[in-house]
Amino acid sequence: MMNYEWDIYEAWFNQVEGLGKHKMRRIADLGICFKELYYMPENDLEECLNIAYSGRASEGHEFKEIKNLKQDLINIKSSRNTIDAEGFYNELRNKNITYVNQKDKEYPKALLTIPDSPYAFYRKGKPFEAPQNHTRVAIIGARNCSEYGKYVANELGRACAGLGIEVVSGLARGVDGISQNAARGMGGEVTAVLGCGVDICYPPSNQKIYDSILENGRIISEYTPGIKPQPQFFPPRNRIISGLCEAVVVVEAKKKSGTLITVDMALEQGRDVYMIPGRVTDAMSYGCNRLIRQGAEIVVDIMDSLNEILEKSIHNVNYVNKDKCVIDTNTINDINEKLDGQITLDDIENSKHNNNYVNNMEGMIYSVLDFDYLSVQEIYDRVCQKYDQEFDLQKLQEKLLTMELFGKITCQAGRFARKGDFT
Amino acid sequence: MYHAITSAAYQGMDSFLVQVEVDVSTGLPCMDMVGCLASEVKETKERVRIGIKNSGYEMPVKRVTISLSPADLKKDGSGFDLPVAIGILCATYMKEEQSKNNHILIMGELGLDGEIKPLRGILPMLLMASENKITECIIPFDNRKEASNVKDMELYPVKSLREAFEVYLSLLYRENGDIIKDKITEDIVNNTGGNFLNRMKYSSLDESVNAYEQLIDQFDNKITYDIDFNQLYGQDHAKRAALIAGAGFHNLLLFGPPGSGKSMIAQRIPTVMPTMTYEESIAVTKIYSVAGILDKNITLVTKRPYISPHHSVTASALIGGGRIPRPGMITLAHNGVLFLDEIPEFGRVKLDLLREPLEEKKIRITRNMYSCEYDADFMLVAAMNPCPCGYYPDRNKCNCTPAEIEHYLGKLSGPFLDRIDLSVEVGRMSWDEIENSRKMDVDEGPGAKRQQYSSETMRKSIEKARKRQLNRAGKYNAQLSSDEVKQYCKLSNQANQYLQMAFERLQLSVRALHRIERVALTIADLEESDVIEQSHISEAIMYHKGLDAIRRRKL
Repeated sequence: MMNYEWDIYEAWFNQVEGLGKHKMRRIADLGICFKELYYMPENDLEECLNIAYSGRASEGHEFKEIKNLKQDLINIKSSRNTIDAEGFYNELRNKNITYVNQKDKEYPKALLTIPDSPYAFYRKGKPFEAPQNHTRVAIIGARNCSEYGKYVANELGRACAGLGIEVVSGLARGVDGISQNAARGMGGEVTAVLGCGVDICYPPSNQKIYDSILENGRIISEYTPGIKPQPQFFPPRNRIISGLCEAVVVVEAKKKSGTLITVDMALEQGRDVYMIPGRVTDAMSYGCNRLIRQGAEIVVDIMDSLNEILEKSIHNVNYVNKDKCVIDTNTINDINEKLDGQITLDDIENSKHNNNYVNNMEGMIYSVLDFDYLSVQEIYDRVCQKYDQEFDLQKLQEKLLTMELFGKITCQAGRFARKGDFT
Repeated sequence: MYHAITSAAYQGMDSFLVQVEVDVSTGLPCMDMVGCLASEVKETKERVRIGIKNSGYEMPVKRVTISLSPADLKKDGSGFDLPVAIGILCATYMKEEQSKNNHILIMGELGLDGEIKPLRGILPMLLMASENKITECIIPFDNRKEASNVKDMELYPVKSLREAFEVYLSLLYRENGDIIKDKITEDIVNNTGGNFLNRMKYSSLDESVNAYEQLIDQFDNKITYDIDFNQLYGQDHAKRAALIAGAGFHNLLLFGPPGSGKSMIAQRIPTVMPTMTYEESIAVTKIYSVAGILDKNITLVTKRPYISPHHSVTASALIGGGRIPRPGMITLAHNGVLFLDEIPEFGRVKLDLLREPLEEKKIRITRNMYSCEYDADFMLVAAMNPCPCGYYPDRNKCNCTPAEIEHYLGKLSGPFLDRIDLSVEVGRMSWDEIENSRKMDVDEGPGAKRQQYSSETMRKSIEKARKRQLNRAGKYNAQLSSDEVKQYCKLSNQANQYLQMAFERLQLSVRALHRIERVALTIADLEESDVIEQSHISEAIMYHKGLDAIRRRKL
């Protein structure tokens, strides 16, 4: 009961505007119960804050100067007057939102070890399992990803789910959402870390993924429910993504990409960073390729890299139940079989060697298609050039449309590409 | 003395006859003009006074009153100078009063030196006069070419007031010079009589239709374009779309990055359209005449109009209007091509104004002072970039966010897009393609490789396809109503199944279905097939994809 009460008032205090994790920690270090702060006379409250703010940093945490005492005091006072702490806590529970602080068993151990670990977070959906034997991998990348990015994100998500690796990401447009959705589709566990309150789906276009994640996963956030996304919230959000995980896999990143901030944080936190390489000419992969050059791990084979991450985490973390994480070749084969449903890169290779032109115009078209969208004109030029003969533009268009209708390729505004996103 | 002369004025495309009555009587010397006059007409007084003096006549030192009737219609333009001047001269110098209604139409602007200057709208006014049984007219010399289109009209193009007055007197009396001189108070007439009239007479085209053919064959109007589709490298897909659009008079949307050739394609579309018929030519010439952009050396406009207003064009310049009604760009593009480059920059307001004319093929402009109707049966060719920076989906260059692109595409309203049948992407060309085309040009002569899409071959197949359409429905495929689409679009079984599959899998709307069928019908016409086959349907769907994407604001 005592613990429950503590949580109520800590949750109240946590939502007061302007009080970050540093201030929370200082005040908690004073040994004062947050309930006391709620009922304390104003003079005493000021005294408390004075002591807390002027105190030295507690052990293990870097010293940060604490400012804005007067403003915080005003905020706390107004919050005491306007917010009913118990009501606030009950409201969270009604919305199925749980307040998780560092003392909870649920609080992921990996997150505790990072230099700047969040004081507490809000969670919606399944709790983190108490004997935390999961390996977590963050799959992050560009929002405006190419069809190639979609393809790889999708494959990664499914492979992780197949290996029992939890996929952590930010539910953003592009790579984040696609990988999480793919993992969800395969029954894998998924954690989404948001840069806004957990009850807000941002971006709104990912509402479907948001809903499905709640079924077999969780959505967490440092920010009080109801808070709208703001640009400055996202870099701190990224540190939680990388902090939760054993390793970070970057799918596509431009030269100046927000994804690279997450990579920097992951490196600071001592996480492994894996890069999906891209073509030299492709601006969408510039960031990834540059990091490979600087020594980041390169993903040559998705399964190999994921297995490597799994093994490392087994060796490093001794609290993990080893039996559960042994990967035998059978499971990998199973997964590969599951992945085989659609056209794969092997099929593409095969179609290249198929010289039966007349019957297999589709094969020829497929061989010149790419993960980037190509206009009909470009496809026509490529086919003509590659097979060195004149084709009928009308016939080509008919074939393209037929292939699209049968789901073999994907179309966007009259441009065609190989399908990367099988969702 | 009193004298009345017939003249004409126009409002919009409608003309009407105007009686110019002049009375010269004793009183304080002054000149008054009445009859609902615009400011240009009020200035007539000054031009006439000096013009008369400098032509060697004398302005009467008497009270001159001029009335233009009907008095309730607003009259504008400078065409009343000449009738007023001749009216004053007659009222001053003639010995007897002339009966009021004669059959001579006089129009012209007067210079201070007595020179006659050309007018706008001569052709529609003369056509109206011809309907009103007027058989003789005195017009400015520079307008003689366009006037010669009017059948059964004797034209007397004049260069000066003196010539005009002498022609008028000769027409009035149709007798020899001596008799005329008897009827004039002073001997101020040098040339009169039958010989003089014959010398001044300008032959109108007796059988205009034949003359029209002659014109096209021999004269200044021979249709030659210095642009041709075979000058364009590559872009076969876009050329094919242009071919289909031209064949069915479908409106076309081109999209692609800057510098990819969208404007070049649009400019060349008039070169593949069939030659205008005589009626179409006359309609265009009338509009040009009213707009004052008709070349004085041209009898008939035989080239299809190609109008490309900049996107800063104002709404009334685009669709017509103004204090004095003027035809807008859409009317100037009548029977031709209206090309709107960078179409999102025009803004929703201006584009939505085009919706009605695109449907009705004409525009009715109503203001509190007037109401008039202009023809506006044009083929719309629009061009746009796929995103604000222009390079989407090339992510090496384009950094536009989906929200920016959505906003950009949102500048085109759905109902406006519904009036466009085809869209095609005009993409960047690879260096190989350009290099190949250049080599071909050197080896085989310019454009040899691209004969398939030369303007001439395209025009021939378009002419064939259009003939089929006119024989079948009496109009072009783009103008078919949804009932007529059902009536004329006969799909083969295979095509029907294919369309059903596409309808379900691509989630097409019923409206989209009609448009696809219309375009497929044109494609079938181009191949002279009576039944719409699967390949026609699939190609039509491909040209619909871009429109659908823009409508959904996702390129």
